[in-house]
Amino acid sequence: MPASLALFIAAAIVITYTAAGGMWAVALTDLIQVVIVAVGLLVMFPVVVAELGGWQAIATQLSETVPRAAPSHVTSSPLPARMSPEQGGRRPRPRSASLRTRTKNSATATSRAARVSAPNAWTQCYSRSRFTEVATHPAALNEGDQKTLGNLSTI
Amino acid sequence: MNDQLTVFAGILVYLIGMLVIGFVAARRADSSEEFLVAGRSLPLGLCTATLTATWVGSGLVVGAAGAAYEGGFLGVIADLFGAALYLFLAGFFFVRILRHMCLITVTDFSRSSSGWPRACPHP
Repeated sequence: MPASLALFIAAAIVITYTAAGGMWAVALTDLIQVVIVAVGLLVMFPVVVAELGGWQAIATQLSETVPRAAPSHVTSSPLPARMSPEQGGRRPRPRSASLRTRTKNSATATSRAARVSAPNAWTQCYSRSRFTEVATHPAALNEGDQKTLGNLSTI
Repeated sequence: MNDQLTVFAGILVYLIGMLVIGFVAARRADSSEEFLVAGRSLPLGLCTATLTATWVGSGLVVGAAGAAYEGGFLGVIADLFGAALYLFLAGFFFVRILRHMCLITVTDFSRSSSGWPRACPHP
């Protein structure tokens, strides 16, 4: 049987029952079809997985045949990885205890660098220009910064 | 050959069953509202089955699986997740209004420039 003839027969049958019964016919036949699809998927899924040799074999074959797919030992996120600052990405916010101490202690110190830095880039710009200031004028060190330097040297 | 015959018989039984169901359901369709929108009284289970069968067709089972194989989650973000999101958006924002307008076809909507097209028997 040619494929076009099969197509015409199937289309004729679908058009016939749709034109005869309207929405009720479509809903009832869709109910049968969704039962068939659901049962078929539920039956075929373990059959296909067993036919391919289990999850590990599927992952191995995927990592060999598809170059873009992740290797089998990686359970990666579907989202792309975070860009580094050199690639134009955002710098990660400071999270370690010593970095938090540095921003807190520096906040209490009134210095020239605090007025220079932008408010939204505060943690990066302030601490960096504070360090340049400390490097050029060692007398500007207060005790909070000394503690911060002690913390930083342990990193 | 025997397998081919079995498959052919299964398809034949399926198609004849579809025709029989269609003509049995045709006895309920006595008005245009019954015919086109099932009298606006389609039960929840049948409505769910209809929407599921419409979206989970061969295009999703074969096509979306192939797209996921090629592009991962981002390969099916439009055809799978976007389509599901569209269903949710339509259900939350449009269905209530359109049901209250008592429309049957899309043409009724474009004809009803003044808002409510006609007296609605089932609000």
